[in-house]
Amino acid sequence: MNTTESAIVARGLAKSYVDPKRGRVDALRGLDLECKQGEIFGLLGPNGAGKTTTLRILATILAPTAGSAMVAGVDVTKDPLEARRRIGFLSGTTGLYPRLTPRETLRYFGTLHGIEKEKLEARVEELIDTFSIRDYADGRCEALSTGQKQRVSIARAVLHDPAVLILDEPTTGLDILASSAMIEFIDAARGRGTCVLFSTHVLSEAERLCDRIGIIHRGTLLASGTLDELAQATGKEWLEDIFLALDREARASNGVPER
Amino acid sequence: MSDSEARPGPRTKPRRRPPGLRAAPVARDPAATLSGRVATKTALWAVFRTEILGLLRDRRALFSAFVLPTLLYPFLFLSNSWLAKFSKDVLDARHVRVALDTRAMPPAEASRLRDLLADEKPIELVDVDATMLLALGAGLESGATVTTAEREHVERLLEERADVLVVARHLGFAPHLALRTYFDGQTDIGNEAERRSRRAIAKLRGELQTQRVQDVLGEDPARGLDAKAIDVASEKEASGAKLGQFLPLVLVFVLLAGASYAALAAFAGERESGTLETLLVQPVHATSIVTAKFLAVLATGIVTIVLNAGSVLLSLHFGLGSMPGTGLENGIILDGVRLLFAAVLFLPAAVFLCAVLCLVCGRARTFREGQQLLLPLLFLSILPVLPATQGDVSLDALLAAIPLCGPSLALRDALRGQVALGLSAWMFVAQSAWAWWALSRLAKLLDAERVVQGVENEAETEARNIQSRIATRWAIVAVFAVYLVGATLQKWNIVWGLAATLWLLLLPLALLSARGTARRARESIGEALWIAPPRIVHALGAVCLAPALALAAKVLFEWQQRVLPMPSTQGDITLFQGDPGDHTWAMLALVALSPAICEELFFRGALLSGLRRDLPAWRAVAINAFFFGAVHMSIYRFLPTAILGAVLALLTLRARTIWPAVILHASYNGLLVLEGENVLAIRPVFAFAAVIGLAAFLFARGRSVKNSV
Repeated sequence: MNTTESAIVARGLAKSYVDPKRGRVDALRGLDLECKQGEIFGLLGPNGAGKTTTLRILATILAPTAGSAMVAGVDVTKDPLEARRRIGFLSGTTGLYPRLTPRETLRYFGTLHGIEKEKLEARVEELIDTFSIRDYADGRCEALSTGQKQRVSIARAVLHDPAVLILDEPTTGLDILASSAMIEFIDAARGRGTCVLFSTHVLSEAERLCDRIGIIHRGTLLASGTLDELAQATGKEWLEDIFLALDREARASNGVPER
Repeated sequence: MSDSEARPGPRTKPRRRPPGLRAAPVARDPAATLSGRVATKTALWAVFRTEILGLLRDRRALFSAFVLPTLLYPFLFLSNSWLAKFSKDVLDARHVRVALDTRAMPPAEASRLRDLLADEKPIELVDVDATMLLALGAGLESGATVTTAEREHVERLLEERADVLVVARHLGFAPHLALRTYFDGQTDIGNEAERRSRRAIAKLRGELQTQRVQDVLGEDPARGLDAKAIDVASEKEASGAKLGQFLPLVLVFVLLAGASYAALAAFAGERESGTLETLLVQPVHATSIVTAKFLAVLATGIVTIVLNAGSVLLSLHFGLGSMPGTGLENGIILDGVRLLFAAVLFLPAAVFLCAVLCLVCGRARTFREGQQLLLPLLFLSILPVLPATQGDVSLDALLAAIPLCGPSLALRDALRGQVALGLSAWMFVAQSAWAWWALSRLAKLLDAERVVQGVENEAETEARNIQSRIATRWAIVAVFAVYLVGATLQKWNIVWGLAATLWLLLLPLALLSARGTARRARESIGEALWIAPPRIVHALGAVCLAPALALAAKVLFEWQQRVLPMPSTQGDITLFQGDPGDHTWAMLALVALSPAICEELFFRGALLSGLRRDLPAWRAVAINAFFFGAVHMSIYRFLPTAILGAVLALLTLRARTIWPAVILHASYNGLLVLEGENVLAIRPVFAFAAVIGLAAFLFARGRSVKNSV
């Protein structure tokens, strides 16, 4: 495995847990995934396919039952703290502390990342400028609009200049303005050499942003590649059709009846 | 690149480009980030500071948790004492009418009484004729009881003329003259009139006594007897004792009130607002985060305590007011050393309580859910503090080990100035162990797997617990049936009523409940009731355990008597008249065998088997024990029977059949029946038997039974 080439390498990831009520749940069954440096990779799949579980394992929130994952050259199960230093994580449900100001929020997470004081101050100012937060940098977060909050959240996620950004359905629940800001941001990350792995079920987002796309279903990666590669493999032109074709194929091979 | 550029597609260009989002492309070293190792101390401080900052910025919380209570006490005390003074002034100024019948007194004494009464201004004296009352024989006895006829008579006299009636009468015996004061204690004016009359009469009595002493002993009255009661408790000790009785309750209450807000915000609130997940992907150990949050909760709790207790103590110290009913009417004297010592003794309790608070709030998914858990927690925490409010429950080794109970008793004793050093040290160690236990549970609280996966649909999980829910419903039905039908039957005839409750009420309920379980699980009723034959070792083990258990129950009951004394009317119920020896066999059948079979079939058979299908063992056992305790219809028997229920349930789960529980239950009850013959006297043998019995269950597991999860 070449760490200078691949920002994320996951091999045979499996996650099952025993829910006291439901019994054994297999969320992931042997998922392989590889994302290159500076690449934008979109993870597509229906609800319950295992997108969130995959991203959480890669972000060290969950431990895999089997398999291994390297993120920015660090094994996430062996050294989760080191991995967290190289990952920026943001999910659709991420919130902000209502009674802290954006500036304090950034300082807080910067401190938790162990950034030295002078460096941190400079970085916070830089982010406030980059994300145009200055106007409301010293007001409480509870008073911010959804779009403003989103900017602060993004600034928080890239505060430590991570090599890998993991975004779990980052545009879910955002209005057009806020989600377009998010899309702009992801697009911009490409230029900085950051690897972005994000999940979505908005196909147009994936079409527009992604260098490569992975289709995930029932805990495995059905296919991955550029849009062209996927189109060739399935003989379909539109991502929506590609997705449906792959889904149908998978159901047929699993013996699951069509919906 | 762009594959997507090449194809036509549904694409929306953002109408407005947010300024500055696009940065210039830079080459970067893939692993290089600004993030570095962070010292635990730095992380702890950052989290702690943020928690406290969040709290301090919540003005409403700040006001209601800190400012309001702190100002409330002086205000409450002040207004209270002002009100008391005001009503006293009003009463002093009230015009009081005293009705007098002093014809039985020597004229000199009668006129002296009038003079003394007249000094209690403003007062008016009215002469009445109480001949009728005297004729009824009123006041002949020294007791304060009045007959209905006397009461009516007095009421008539008072209604017409006065607020108090003072009647003198001759007695045929020493001291020959009696003064009786009648008044209506329900009215303020009646009490006030009585108070003034009492003062005057006391003065008169003093004068008469001095006179008598002089008459009998000559000119030197000092040779007489001067009797006076002197409280040897110093004022400091007295006020400490009074304070010690109510301070623990205030402390627990205030600690929970203050710290609960911080705990809710730190755990439930943070989970609800979605910041917890973010916090858990920072390069900091989850343990550090929990520790910092706990410290913030503890600090908030301690600050609240210090502010509140300080406010109470200073208010009382400066005589700002009186606490009606607590005996602190005249203010208190503070002793700094004692207070400090008391605070140290209470510290482990504060740590424990804050840790429990964090545990509770950490389980809650939302602020509201956390709030709902707080009230039960408050009640649960106040229960063990209640013994400290009783002056005569004293600290012992067992009470010292009970969470919150030990510290509050020690706190009370410390304020009284009666510290048993050894016991306090043991209390401190035991309570620190409890606090340590709670803290160690806390370390696992922010386990990410639980935090992110705990978000599950409540309704779905509820639907899955069908067996345990229906079993619980049957248990509620059984408890109410026993309360309503059983109690009525037993009132009618204790022997037949008891038999009917067991065989005609509980047994059918067990069969009905098990029939449902069996149908849902596709088993036979026998399988659902867990009545497979036991292993021989388990049957013998159960017999071995009985004496030790009966003995333990006796000890527990004796101990409980001190905390929760049982009224004598609740004690032994006589089942059979006459010599108990004549009815031993009937007693054994009714009190030992019948309950063993019927109660075990219901509680360990139907209920436990239903519960265990959905719930983890400890919860099934706890619910089982609760209902078994509840069905015994007495708060005094709740604890002993609930513990017995838990033991029986554990044995049943281990043996996978109810027969060992039946055998143990029968022999346990049998021993209690025979206890009159002192069968429980040989203790070492019982301990030995208990060890053998326990070993039987520890080393041998029951034959596997279908469907016992």
